[in-house]
Amino acid sequence: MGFSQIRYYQFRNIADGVLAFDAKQIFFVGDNGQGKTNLLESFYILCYGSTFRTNRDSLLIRSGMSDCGLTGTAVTDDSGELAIRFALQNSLKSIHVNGSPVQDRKDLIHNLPCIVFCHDDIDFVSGPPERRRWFFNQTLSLYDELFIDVLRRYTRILKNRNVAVREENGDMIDVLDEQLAHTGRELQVQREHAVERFSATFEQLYHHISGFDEPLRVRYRPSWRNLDSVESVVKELRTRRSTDFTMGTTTSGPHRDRFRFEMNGKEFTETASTGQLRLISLILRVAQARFFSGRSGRKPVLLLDDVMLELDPTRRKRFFDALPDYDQAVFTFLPDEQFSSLAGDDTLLYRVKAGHAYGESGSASTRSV
Amino acid sequence: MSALDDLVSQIARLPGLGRKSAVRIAHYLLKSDRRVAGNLSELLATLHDRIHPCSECGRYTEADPCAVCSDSARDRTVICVVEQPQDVEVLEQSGEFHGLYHVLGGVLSPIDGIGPGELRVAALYRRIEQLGIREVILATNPTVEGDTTALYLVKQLQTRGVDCSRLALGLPVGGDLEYADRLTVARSLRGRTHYDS
Repeated sequence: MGFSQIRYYQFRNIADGVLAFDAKQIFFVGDNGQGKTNLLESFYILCYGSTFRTNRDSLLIRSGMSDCGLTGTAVTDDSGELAIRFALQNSLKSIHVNGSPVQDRKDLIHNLPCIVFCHDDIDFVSGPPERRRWFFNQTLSLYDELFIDVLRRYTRILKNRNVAVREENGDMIDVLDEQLAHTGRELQVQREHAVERFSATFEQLYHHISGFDEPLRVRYRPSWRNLDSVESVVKELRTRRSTDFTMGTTTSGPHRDRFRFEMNGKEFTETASTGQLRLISLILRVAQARFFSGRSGRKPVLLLDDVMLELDPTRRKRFFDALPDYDQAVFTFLPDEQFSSLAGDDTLLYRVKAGHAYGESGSASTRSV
Repeated sequence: MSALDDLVSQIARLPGLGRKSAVRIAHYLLKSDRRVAGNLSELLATLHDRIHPCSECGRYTEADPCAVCSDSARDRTVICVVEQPQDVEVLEQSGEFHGLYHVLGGVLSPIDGIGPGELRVAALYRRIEQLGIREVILATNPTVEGDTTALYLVKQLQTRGVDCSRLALGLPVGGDLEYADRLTVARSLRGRTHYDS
């Protein structure tokens, strides 16, 4: 059922104390700069042990303080009740689940898988190719722990190869080429299969939510094209070795793979409007959530940060209806948004002002705490 | 810094020990008979004089060559290559291997600046040549760098006409399948063995 409560301690601008979240839908409503996204972010941190907003953990600590902490209680179908504690002390991060320290964040992912919808998601559509790779890596990592291992392994081999390339160390590159080809092919095959299935979900959702008839598809364009064996990849790496020496890096492999959004065989994002790009980024996340549910048979926690603001009422309704079944969903809204029609039977509404969250009653569909 | 703080800091620098354990050990030594600390101190003071790497295989030994290298009953046509001296003890305890050992002293890792020249690779080639080794068992750890090292040695040794093998990867003996991590299960499936018909 997701989180039943979270305790806050010196976390961003959020007032210290405990907030109850024992509802399927949580609405945070408030003006900009009051702390809605900070509250939504706390769910993400307890799910993954990191934030989606910054690479600097120190920004999570309230200004002028030296440490911060979050403690969440959650109930899952698989693991029962979980007490997750996140702390930043003396620049050191620690995460504990039911009192045991978590050494590898990978171990957290399968406790409470969550999917966040935020403004920066537009980068997956209009940003650099590595952001698209990041999105699809995350999509695969959500349900396949082995993919994370293969990806980490590939990254480590790649780093070693890049050093060997800079040193022009042929013997070492021969060895690393075999490892890179073997691990890289594993990544490539997994991406191929995943994108094929993901694209079918995405295409259907795009048609349903946007209302456009022209199909939009996701296409995978691997860097090692038409190479379907480890041997052929090793040969390709050998052929490109002089180019690699000139560039001082490995110029081919899954770290250079591309993902395209194609309409009539052409990259759509080059001609799409900002509104269309935003819509595609939203649909990508819905497809990710559906893909995760379909593959794992589990319900995710969904975090939606101000993302429906730019949708017209019809598309907003379609978007909302297209969300997969979830354990818990957290939404942020501005006070003048029409959010009450989205509330279900089990919705908890908090008004957020200057870091304080006030439970609101008065509406049939909301409960106070 | 007091003498006790100093002792705790030195103990805490040892691998696998945190500050709490270091405090506990320091207090144990203080509470124990003087001779406990005295004996330990004497052992530590003469450690490097008495124990040193075997000039042949590289494992730690008091006698040179070590007991394995000087044992004429061992199979001197097979050599097992390991990363660290302590790996030899683990393999010896299995009682399954009766050949010789060779300690590399680490693994190849270009990002850490460790190439073949930093490891005991040349000494391995020399021993293979001198002893007429038939088979090399590569027992480096199943990490990226451990695999890189094994693959590098395979490439080099195959040109010298030596058979190479790698330790199998998979489920621990006596362990339950339900407690194995997914990566181990996946590797076990890939490395499954067939029954002879």
